[in-house]
Amino acid sequence: MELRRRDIIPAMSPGDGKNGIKEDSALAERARAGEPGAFEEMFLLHRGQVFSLAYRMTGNTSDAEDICQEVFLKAMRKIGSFQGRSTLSTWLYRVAINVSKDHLRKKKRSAEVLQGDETPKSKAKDEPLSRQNGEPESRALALETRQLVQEALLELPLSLRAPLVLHELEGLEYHEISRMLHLPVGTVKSRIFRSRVKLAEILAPYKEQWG
Amino acid sequence: MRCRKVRKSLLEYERGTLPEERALEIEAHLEGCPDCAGLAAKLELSRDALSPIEPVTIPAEASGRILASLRRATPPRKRPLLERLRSPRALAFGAAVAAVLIAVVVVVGLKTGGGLHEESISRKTTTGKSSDLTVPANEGEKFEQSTTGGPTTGGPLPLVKFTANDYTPDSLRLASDDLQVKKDFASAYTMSDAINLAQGYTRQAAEDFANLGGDAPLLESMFTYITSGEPTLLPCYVERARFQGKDCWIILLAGPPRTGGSVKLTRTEAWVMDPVKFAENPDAGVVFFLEQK
Repeated sequence: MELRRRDIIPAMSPGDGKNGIKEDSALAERARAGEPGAFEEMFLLHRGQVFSLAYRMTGNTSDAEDICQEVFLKAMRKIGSFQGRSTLSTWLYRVAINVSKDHLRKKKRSAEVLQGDETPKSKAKDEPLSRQNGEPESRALALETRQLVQEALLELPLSLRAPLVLHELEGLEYHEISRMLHLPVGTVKSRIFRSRVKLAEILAPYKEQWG
Repeated sequence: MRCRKVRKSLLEYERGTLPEERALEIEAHLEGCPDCAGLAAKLELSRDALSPIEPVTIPAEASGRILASLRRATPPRKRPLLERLRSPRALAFGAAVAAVLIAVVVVVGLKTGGGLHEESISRKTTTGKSSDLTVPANEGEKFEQSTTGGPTTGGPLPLVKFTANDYTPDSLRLASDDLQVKKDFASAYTMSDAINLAQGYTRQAAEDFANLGGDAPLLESMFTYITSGEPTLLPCYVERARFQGKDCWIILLAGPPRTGGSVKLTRTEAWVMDPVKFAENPDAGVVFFLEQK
């Protein structure tokens, strides 16, 4: 039986489980009261998961840093709305997904409206894999496997990318993603199925990499 | 077994989490169904591609920068109400409010009829011209709301105007460059101010917009839409005008630069919104976006 990432990687935050919820509530309460250091503690505990998700959603460390910063600033402003019904980890994932979507939407919008020399410099990097120059074989040889997968992830629509990243790379269960994205569990599952199929179709020219 | 039923269980099958009997049924189906076998092969390829992907680690420099920005933006600790009421600032504020109330009572008592109305009209036209987002070739503003004298901060307030200006992307950029209220916000406010004041300034701008006859709830929805991913943006300017011949609302927000250590609100985002399209579908309501760093 295949091991899931959650089985082999230590919990990404100490906020899992009932004890975690209690600890999270205490930390959130301290943050709400404006206790110096509470937000720093929250950041140090959860920065890894937020940055990782942001990177998987955008494929770019600079964007991931911007998103990570926005997530924690937003958390600072919205901590009053955290009611302790989920873990801080889940709450921050939800904020990170929304901020990532907004960031990508704004980036797409600014790329659409800007013209000529104002085209973002990162455009070439963000160009979908299937539309980049070069023969698939030579490109496959030139690029690291992980980069190929990351670029393929960016070709997926956001509606498929988010559940796939949360489930396959961040190790969240269907029901957790269902609550996070406000989707029925069946929809989450079918989107993951479709995203896996689509990902394979994008990566098909390079399949010898994983032969 | 039907293909649809098989496909529903394919993820569990390739993961090896199905009961043995069910797995054998699916295996038998795959041998005789090329379509389902093709899907199973794709799932296998994607699993092989995803399995070596490691978690991403946040670079130390990035972590340090974010931590520094959080420290700068940390809200002040809330003090108990009684303690706050006894503070010198609270006492001074109370004295000022009392003085203003006495002055208002005296003025109203001296005047006869229409005084409050006149006062409200004059407030709408007190803004200095240096704050106007104007284009030389156009007619300029018709109405506006005051931008000075924030009651709670003493700093500049968002400016709201209805004009007949017709902007192009270039003229909007030029006009935004010279906008005085933008410079006032940049010199007066920091990132933590943006976080603390955003809600109040959004409401203030919406109220001013409503006083000029605009749709305040729709404007507030636009602010929510624009700032949902960026809590450090502070509304500084709203103009109901035209953009390339179409009726639009131009919304300017001030925020800290994305890079570098400054916390001053020196970056601005200008959003040109089509209110009709926005009401139907927010994503379709964005006509033009301009970021000035």
